[in-house]
Formats: sequence, C-alpha cells, structure tokens
Amino acid sequence: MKSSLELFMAGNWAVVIVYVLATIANVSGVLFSNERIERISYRFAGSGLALHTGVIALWWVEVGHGPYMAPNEVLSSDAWVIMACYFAFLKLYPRIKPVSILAFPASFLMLALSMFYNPGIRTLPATFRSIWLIIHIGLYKIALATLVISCAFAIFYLLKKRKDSGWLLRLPALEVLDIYSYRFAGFGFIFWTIGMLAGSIWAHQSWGRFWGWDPTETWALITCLMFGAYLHLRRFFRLQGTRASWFFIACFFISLVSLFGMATLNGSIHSEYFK
Amino acid sequence: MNIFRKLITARRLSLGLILFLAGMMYVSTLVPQEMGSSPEGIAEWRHKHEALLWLVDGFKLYRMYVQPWFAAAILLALAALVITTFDQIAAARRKLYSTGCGVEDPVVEASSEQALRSVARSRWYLSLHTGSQDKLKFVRNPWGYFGNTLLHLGMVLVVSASLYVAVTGRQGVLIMIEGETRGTPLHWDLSEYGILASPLVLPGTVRLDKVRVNFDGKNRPAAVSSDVTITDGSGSAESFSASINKIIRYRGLRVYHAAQYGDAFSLEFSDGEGRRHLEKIPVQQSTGLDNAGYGDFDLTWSPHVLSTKYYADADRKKMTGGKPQLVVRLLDKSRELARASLTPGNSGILGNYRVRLLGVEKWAKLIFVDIGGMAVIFAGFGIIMIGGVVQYTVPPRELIAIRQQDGRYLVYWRAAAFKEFYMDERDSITRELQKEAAS
Repeated sequence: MKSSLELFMAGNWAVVIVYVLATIANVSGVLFSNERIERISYRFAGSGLALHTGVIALWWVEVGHGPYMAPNEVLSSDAWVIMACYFAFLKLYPRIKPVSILAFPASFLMLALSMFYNPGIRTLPATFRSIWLIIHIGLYKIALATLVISCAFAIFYLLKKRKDSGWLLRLPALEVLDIYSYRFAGFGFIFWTIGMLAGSIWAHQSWGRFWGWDPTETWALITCLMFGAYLHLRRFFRLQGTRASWFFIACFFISLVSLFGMATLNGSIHSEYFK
Repeated sequence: MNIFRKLITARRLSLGLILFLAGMMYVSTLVPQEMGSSPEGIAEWRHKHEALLWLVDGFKLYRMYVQPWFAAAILLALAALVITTFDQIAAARRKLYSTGCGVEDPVVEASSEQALRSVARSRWYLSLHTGSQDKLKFVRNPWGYFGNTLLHLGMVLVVSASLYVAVTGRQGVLIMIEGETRGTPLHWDLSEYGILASPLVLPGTVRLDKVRVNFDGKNRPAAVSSDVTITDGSGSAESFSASINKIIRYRGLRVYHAAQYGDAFSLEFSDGEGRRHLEKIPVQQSTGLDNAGYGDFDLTWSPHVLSTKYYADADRKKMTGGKPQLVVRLLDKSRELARASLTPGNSGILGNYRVRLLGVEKWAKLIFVDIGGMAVIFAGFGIIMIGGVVQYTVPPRELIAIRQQDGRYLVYWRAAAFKEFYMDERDSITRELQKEAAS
C-alpha cells in the first residue's frame, strides 16, 4: 500500500509538471505566434494525458473502485476528462484548438489542487456498486469538460470584442466564437441532463426514490434550468454576443457551485463521501 | 381558447417559469426544508433570521415543494409543455415538407437532376417528396427536425408522471434487529404518502431473520443482504432475501435494502440509586478493521446525547465473529462529559452510570415502496436523451433545388442550426456540383 501511495503521489506530481510545461509552451506558442512551440505543447499535453491515465489506472486497481470517491480522485479524474475531451473534440472540431489556452491550465490546476487533499483510501459503500453510478458520474464529468470548452469560447468572445489585437487576431471571427460557445453549451446541457437522469435511475434502484430534493440534486436541477433558460434565450429571444457570453459565464459558475461547492459545503448524500 | 393558448405558450412565460422555478429552488436551499433538516437546525435558522419569518411563514417556504402555489407553477409549466409539444410536432412537419429557400443565396447551379441526386446520395442527403416536379429537396438527418419535439414530449412525460408519483406514492421504513418481528397493525419507523394515497399497510407481520455482510479482501463491506419473512393474515409465510441494489417484489410492493445496516448493541445503564435503563442502539457498520462505525442517540431518561463508535474487532484482526469494541460518550451539546470503552459482557463507568454491554446483534433498514408511474418517467428520460442527442448533434441540412427554364437547377443549401459548423460540407457539395457541371 505504502509503495503504491508513493508511486501514485510521484506519478501525479510528474503529470502536474508535464501539464505545466504544456501550458507554458502553449501560452507562449499562442501569444508569440510560434507554431513550433505550440506543437510541442500538444506533445507535452498528450504525454501528460497518457501518464495521467496510467496513474488513475494504478490507483483504481489499488483502491478497488473508480476515481469518484475521495476529493483527490474526483479532481484528478475531472482534470483527466477535461484534457481527454479536449483532444477528442479537437479531432471532431479542429477550430476549438485555441481552447487549449484554458483547458491545459484548468487541468493542471485541478490536478495540483487534488494533491492537497488526503489521498487515503475511501471505502465504496455497497449502494455505490452500481453501473448507474459510473454512468451518472461519467456524464457529469463530460458535461464539465464541454462546459469548460464553451466557457473558453465565451471568454474569447468577450476578449476579442473588447480589443481585437495580438494573439486574439488568430482566433476565429466573433460570430464563430459565439456559435461555438452556444453549441458546446448545448452539448453540456445534454450531458448534464442525462447525467441527472442517470442519477435518478440509480437512486430509484438503490433507495426506492428517484428524487429527494437533496441540496446537490436541487442545485443540479437549478443548473439544468439555467442552461435551459440560456438555450431558450438564444433560440427564441435571439440572445447572442456579449450578453450571451456573460449569461453563459454566470450559468457556468452555477454549475461549478453544483459540482464542487455543494459537495464540500453542504450536508447531502452527495457530500458525505466527498468530504 | 386561443387567447389562453397564446398566453400559455408565450415565450416570455416559458422563460419566466423556468427562471421562477430555478429561483424558488435556490430559495429552498437557503431556507431549511422540514423534510430534510433537523428540528434543531430549523430552530437555529429561525432564531438567526427573525426578520424574514413573516415571508417564510406567509408562503410556508419551509415546506416549499408541497405548497399549492409551487404545484400551480409546475402545472402551468406542464400545460405550456403539452401545448408546445403539439406546436413542435406541427413545426417539425412544416420544416420537413417546406421547400422555401428562405433568405439563403443559391450556392451553385446543377446541370441535371441525376447529378444532383448522385451528389446528395454520396453525402447521406435523403430525397424528400416536394409535391412539385420543379422542386427537389434533399435532407441530411431529417429526424433532426423532431429533436425539440422529443425533448418537450420527454419533459411532459417526466413531469406528469412525477406529479402522479408524488400524489399517489407511499412508502414505509423499518429499522429492525435480527430476530425481531413487527406485528399487525404494522408500526413503521417512518412512513410517507402522497396527498391522494393512504398510509401503506402490509398484509401481515414482518420478521428480520438474518443480516449478512460479506467483506472483500481488504475488509470492506462488499455485499449486504437480509433474510425477511412476511406472514399474511391467513398464516401463509413468504421468505425472501433483500440486498442493496437488488430489489425484491412482494405482492405489488418493492422492497429495498437501505445502505443503513450494522451492529446493534444492547446496553444496560445503572445509576447509584439502583435505577436501570436498557437501550438497544443500532450503529452503522464499520468499514474496515481500523475504521469505526458511528451513531448518536437521544436518551429518553437523560438530557444528554449518547455518542458512539465501534470497531468490528477490538484486536483489529477480523471483521466477523471477533470481539467488537464499543466506545460510548455522553455529550452535552458538543462537550464530552464522560467516556467508556466496552467489549461484550464487560462494563465501564460513564459519568454517573455503570454501563454494561450485554450483547451484539445485526440490524438493517428496509424500505417498502408502493408507487406506479416509474415506467413512464423512465420512458420520458429515454425520450429526452434521444431528443437532446438529435437536437444538438445532428441538425438537419437541406439541399433545395429549383428547376430553371433551361432545365438546369439552382441549388440552395441550408442548415437548421449551427450553420458555421457545416460550411465545409456545403463547400464540398458546391465543388462537386461545379465539377459535374463543368464536365
């Protein structure tokens, strides 16, 4: 156990270092329009992701459950999903490339933050041994990754709108940034909603109730409704541009409160094991 | 009727309802709700927020989810969703059969119908009937028109079935110790039922025969099951085994094994004046040799709280059949007054009391549920998922061709949503048709 823990800690720090190098190279490459350095940053990020995968797999085998029980596991796997989703979506939508400027630092910050939590082994309660739990948590992680991408486009939009010069000139046109933010918000909304539904199926199977107005459940529903309002506003009220970006950033903040704030601050079934 | 329809489907009302419900849910996280908070917590909150009590009590914000005005908002949202669903079906059909080109400019000219069909087919555009020989319409992902319809339909099913479950569902909870029998009429430890339902009644007695906890190689509970026997009024007994995540069905009821289970400790308290108090306290299962199970209990004969923790084995050797170690503390709020460590058969001093651990048995919590409508809720979930995926991942793209007098076709391209994502597709179609025309 001790050697596994040491290996896990060392592996995680190694990943943090590689992600930091990726971030530095990426930001330098983008800011100074140096494609060679930018390409190197992707190699760093890819290697970091591979190493990160190994570290998560090692810990999974050691503790006997997926990375969703202890805070360090949750944050580490969130960082992994953001990085993995970025690369997956990059294949599908090459124009999201500049999102790396937010995705890379978000990943290393989350992983570094995870290192400050006690990496002790958490027991997986019997109720958690359900495939629906994995689906529920997995979908929320993907939702977070897509919302990070959407948020990056919203921020890019606001920056470019304010002053279109320097590295911002390399970003796509304003309307393209706006539509990408909209589309990834739609993906995020769908993953979030399906994640919530999967959670209620699991709750029904385990506890005989599919909804209990638990604080985390309530906040997840508030987030879902706020993204619903955002999509409604965009579709039917022609909300776009600056106001849409700010509205989305507000929704994104609410989603962070649901995912992390409620899990650490409030006494709910969802926070019991996260604390 | 039309005015009502217009009012209820107004976009501003839909948006207003979404924001109102989100806002009220936010309020429900600020004002402690009766069903999820302890009486002490509620009292403390009320003491700290006296200035807000007129508002909280006036609207009964402490029981928000069962208030008529909250139900009215949900019903209004449901009515809007139902009508909008029909509107969405009509809109989807309209889009499916529309051959208008809107404000789009023609992207290219096609030399022949055959060339156009060939290019459309190669890009997975399906030919749709237009009712006119001079117009051709090809659509990629025509089912995408129905994404919104499915999203709305799914929500209608989920909301209406949830309301049905809320008003007709009922359940009872039993916290039982091995060997215990609950008779008729059955006294639940906790019972809940909707406003159109009566309290749940079991047709007989319930006995908890055995609780089994299996541990994995690292001494963590891996599987929990309880053997239960229910004997009905005619004396017919039926035994079954309920496990966590394995639901048992008994005469239309669903029986769940809750995540609460563990060891129940029989304690005898005696004071200097010869008074004896017997307590049986169920403490949550410990989850490893070095991990304790915890539980706090109010004592009817003492103003203090009995706080407990136990280890499965005082020697930390094995999880089952060992010698459990129970640590009891008397607390005055959070201040510890006294503490004693006990093993079976032994006693210790706890403040003014001598406390003896008489024995240890297993306990478990079972939930009996009687609800209908879950199948509709899950069907709604499925439809929402399909609708969402269709709406956001496969927006329809249209090719509309209008025949000119010279027999050539003027071709228009349009995406139902996220046009900027599919410009490459449009450009590739344009290039191919241009190549066809040139050859």
